[in-house]
Amino acid sequence: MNKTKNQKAWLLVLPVFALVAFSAIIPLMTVVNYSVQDIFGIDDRVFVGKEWYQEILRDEVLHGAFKRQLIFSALVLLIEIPLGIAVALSLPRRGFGSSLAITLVAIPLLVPWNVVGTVWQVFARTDIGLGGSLLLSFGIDYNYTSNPFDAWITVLIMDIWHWTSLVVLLCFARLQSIPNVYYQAARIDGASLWSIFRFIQLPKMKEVLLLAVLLRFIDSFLIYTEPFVLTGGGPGNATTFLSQYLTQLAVGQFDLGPAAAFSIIYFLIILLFSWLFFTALTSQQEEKLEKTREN
Amino acid sequence: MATIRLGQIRHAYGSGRTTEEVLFGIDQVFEGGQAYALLGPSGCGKTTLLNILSGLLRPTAGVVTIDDKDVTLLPPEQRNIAQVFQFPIVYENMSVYNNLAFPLRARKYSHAAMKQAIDRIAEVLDLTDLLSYKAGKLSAQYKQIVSLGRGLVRADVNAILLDEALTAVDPYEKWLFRRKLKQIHKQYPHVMIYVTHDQSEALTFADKVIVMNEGLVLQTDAPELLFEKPATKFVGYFIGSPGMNFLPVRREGVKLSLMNNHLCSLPAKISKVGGQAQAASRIDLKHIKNWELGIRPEYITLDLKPNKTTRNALRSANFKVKVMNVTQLGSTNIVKVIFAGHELLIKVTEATRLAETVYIGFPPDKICIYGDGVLIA
Amino acid sequence: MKNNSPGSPVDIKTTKPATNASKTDKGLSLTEVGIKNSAGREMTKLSLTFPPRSFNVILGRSNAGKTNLMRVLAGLDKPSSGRIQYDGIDVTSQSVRSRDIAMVYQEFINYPTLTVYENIASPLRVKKLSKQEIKTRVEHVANLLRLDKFLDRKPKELSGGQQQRVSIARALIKEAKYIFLNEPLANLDYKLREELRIEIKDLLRKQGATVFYATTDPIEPLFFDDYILLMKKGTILQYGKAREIYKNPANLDGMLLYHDPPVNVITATVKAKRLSHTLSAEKIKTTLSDGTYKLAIRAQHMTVIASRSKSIKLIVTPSKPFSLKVTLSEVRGSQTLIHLENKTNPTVLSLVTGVHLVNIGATIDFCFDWDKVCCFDETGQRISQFLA
Repeated sequence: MNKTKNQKAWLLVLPVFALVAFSAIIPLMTVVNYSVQDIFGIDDRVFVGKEWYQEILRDEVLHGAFKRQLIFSALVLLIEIPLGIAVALSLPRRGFGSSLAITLVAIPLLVPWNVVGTVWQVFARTDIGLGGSLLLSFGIDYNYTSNPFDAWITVLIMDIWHWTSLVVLLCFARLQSIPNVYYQAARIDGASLWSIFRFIQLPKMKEVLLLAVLLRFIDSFLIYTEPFVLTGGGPGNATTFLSQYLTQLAVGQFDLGPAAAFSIIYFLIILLFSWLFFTALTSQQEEKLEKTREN
Repeated sequence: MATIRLGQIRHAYGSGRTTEEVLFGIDQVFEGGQAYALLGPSGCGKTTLLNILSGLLRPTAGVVTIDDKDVTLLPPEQRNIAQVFQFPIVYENMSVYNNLAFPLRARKYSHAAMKQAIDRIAEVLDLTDLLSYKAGKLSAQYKQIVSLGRGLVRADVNAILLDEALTAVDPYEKWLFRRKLKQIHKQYPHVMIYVTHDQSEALTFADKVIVMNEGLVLQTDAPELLFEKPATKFVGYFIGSPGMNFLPVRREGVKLSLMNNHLCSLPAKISKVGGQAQAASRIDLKHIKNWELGIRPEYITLDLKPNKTTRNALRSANFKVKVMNVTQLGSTNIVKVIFAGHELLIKVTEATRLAETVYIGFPPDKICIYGDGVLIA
Repeated sequence: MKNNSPGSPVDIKTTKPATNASKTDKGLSLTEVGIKNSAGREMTKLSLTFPPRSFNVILGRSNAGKTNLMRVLAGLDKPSSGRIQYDGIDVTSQSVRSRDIAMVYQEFINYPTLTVYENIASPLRVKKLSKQEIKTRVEHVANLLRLDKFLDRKPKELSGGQQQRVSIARALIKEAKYIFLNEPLANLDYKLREELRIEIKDLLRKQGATVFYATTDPIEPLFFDDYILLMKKGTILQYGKAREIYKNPANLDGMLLYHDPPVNVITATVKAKRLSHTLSAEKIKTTLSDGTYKLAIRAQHMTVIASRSKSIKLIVTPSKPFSLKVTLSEVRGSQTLIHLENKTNPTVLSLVTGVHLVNIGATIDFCFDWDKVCCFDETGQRISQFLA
């Protein structure tokens, strides 16, 4: 009897299903389709099996881009997470100063991605850019268009400027929700500031940090717009990351088969890493053990 | 044995127009080895007073001394005071052992001294088997015991303050916890101060109970005295379940009477017994407007027949009253009767026999006289 | 205070339930209901009938499954199997909105942006009643709950007790047939709890609703004095009249739960129709077969043997006297709870009338009344007749 009622609920979630199918599942299946066929025209296609996959896995340029991508994401996480925590800890906790600080910190998040790239492209230029010319005037031989190391640093700093705020906001929100009594108890125990951080604040921030790591990893692993605008992947292939190489393959060279195979692999890699992070960080949260005594 | 003194402590939160005064001049002495309960309804200022004692708050005015040393401006870590909060605070991802070690590490104990202190306190609190457990995984009850342990583990502690520490504990386990607290306190010479709004908790726990209301201390006494001679009507109502019954009485000259039965005679000028501030001043009877008699529900005598054997009409159960209803509460029954237009509650044992009409009496030695809400005799 | 003259205890009730009873009233009934909770625990084959206009107190410690049961009764959750009927009508698949119910929670849940008046009026506005009627009814309920002075205020400007009164007013004004209260007094001060308890009892009785009231406080079923449902770890131990079950618990778990004042559990052994126990060296005749049993004695039935004590005379079948050493004494209002021990029993409790100062370490002589002892077998089931 209550079955009939339950059917109604399905009806209500149908639009969402349709939307997800339209926006995710159908395109994904198209890509899977491309990755196993060689397509010459609309009616002219050959099933090639794993051939594209084998080809793309042998691609030296891709190996380079993959290595670069891993190093980039690792650096992003290593810098942005601790920096974000440090900034969140040093922000004022209450009053007008708190709202002002949080607004200022949030500004980079409001800037569109391509604008971020353009802003930094201008900022880092050695002729008219404030940052670039300042470095030159200090006697530092800086040129992000010709020196691979400089290009790298610039892309990295740009990402840090753009996204550390996200980590700050997440951590700050969590820190605000720690009841004052925890700090009172720690003061009575005579705890140092480091102990308060290590044993109260850090454990409480665990969940949001997991979220921050996941978001920053996925986002940095997919980075495209900013380096595309700033360096165009150069000099050489110095700042060509995975998504940029993928675009080159698919749009630039129109190698749809290898590009599709690459997309699938790319997708699986992100899934794998996200899962690894997630399990590593949640492994300690087992079922709460209720300890009660016999009467 | 440490003695803690509070001298004219006042406190206000906020500043300027939004100032809210919560304490209005508290004088109080806490002696080592004694257990005190701070009792009062929520919002009466008891937690503020506790935080001033531990140093988490600095009073707006007044002095806190520990053994005659002024500590008013010292932070909590320099006062050697332990505090247990309403909800259990443990360092969740540390073991129970490390939780207990935490305050000792902060005070640079040697490894051997630390282990000895922890083993001792773990045994007292029955935590020995749990030392290797992660504190975050314990039940609320055991987390609270660990919080208590963190306070007690320091050998130098002058006072241990408990702020409604049993809120998170199941009613059934409350008395077990309370018993443990009392047994522990017998082994340690420090001051124990227990904040609660639950009178039975205060009465069973403390050697002395401090009753507070609206930022003032109304009475500090042993539980029996608080029960027998409440200093104000509020204390009479707040202590005891149900609270004290009050009936208006008539004053003619120095004589007080209840329905033409002589109650007592008073001296022409009296010094009020209750109330901190007025203790010294002597007041003429005429200046007191409302005269009332207070009697505990437990002390009203109840009989099925009038008792004419004694002369004193009050003592023997002589007033005929109608029973409105009876509430049975396990070992006792609460009987509601109407006496001269006033509702009275009478508490009797489960074995007491009842009828539709009963006779009641007021033993003179159990009667308290209140003038304008303050105990007179 | 005590009276030994003849006469039997009389129950006097002045607050009678409202008389809108009709023949269709069948109360709330469960037929073979199964309830699953989030932890995967499941109650199965639950068949119970709550009489119309009954006040049902659900007593259990935290995590006993009280809230789960209430949610299913109210319709917030669906049972995993079985049927639920309101007055004989199957409502198993009916949504909460269409049921005639009201709820009060432990947390004081009110609309923070609305005034007290608007909060109380909200259930009536949903029903689209006329403004005038809403006004009369809100004022009436506000008067009953002593909220009339605060109608213009916002909930957060009120004390905890007043906020909870607003939630109760919202539940009352609906005049729902079924009212669910989930530990409504748990977050309140002791004295406020005492006051509001009396108000709840009077008001709900007058409304004539069927009430479900979850609590962890064993004094409350006695206070509300109607029905009690005892729960432990997701199972139902017993359902029945509160006073009757207090006197005749069906199992040891139930008695320990419904325990104010606490219950002493003593081990007893039976050999060749003779029962011996660990408190004293007596051997009494019994109908029980050989084995070990549990004897439960409430603390107020552990009687001090003092020369002038009247209470001794009331004992019908006294046990052989025994001595116990005092480990602690606690004052509870006008009673003293004495903690005691002997070689075989680490904790024995005795509740004595009056405020007594007992020295720790002192030895006191006690006895108990065999008529007041409950006997349980090894599985904790009650054996009603055990004395020969």
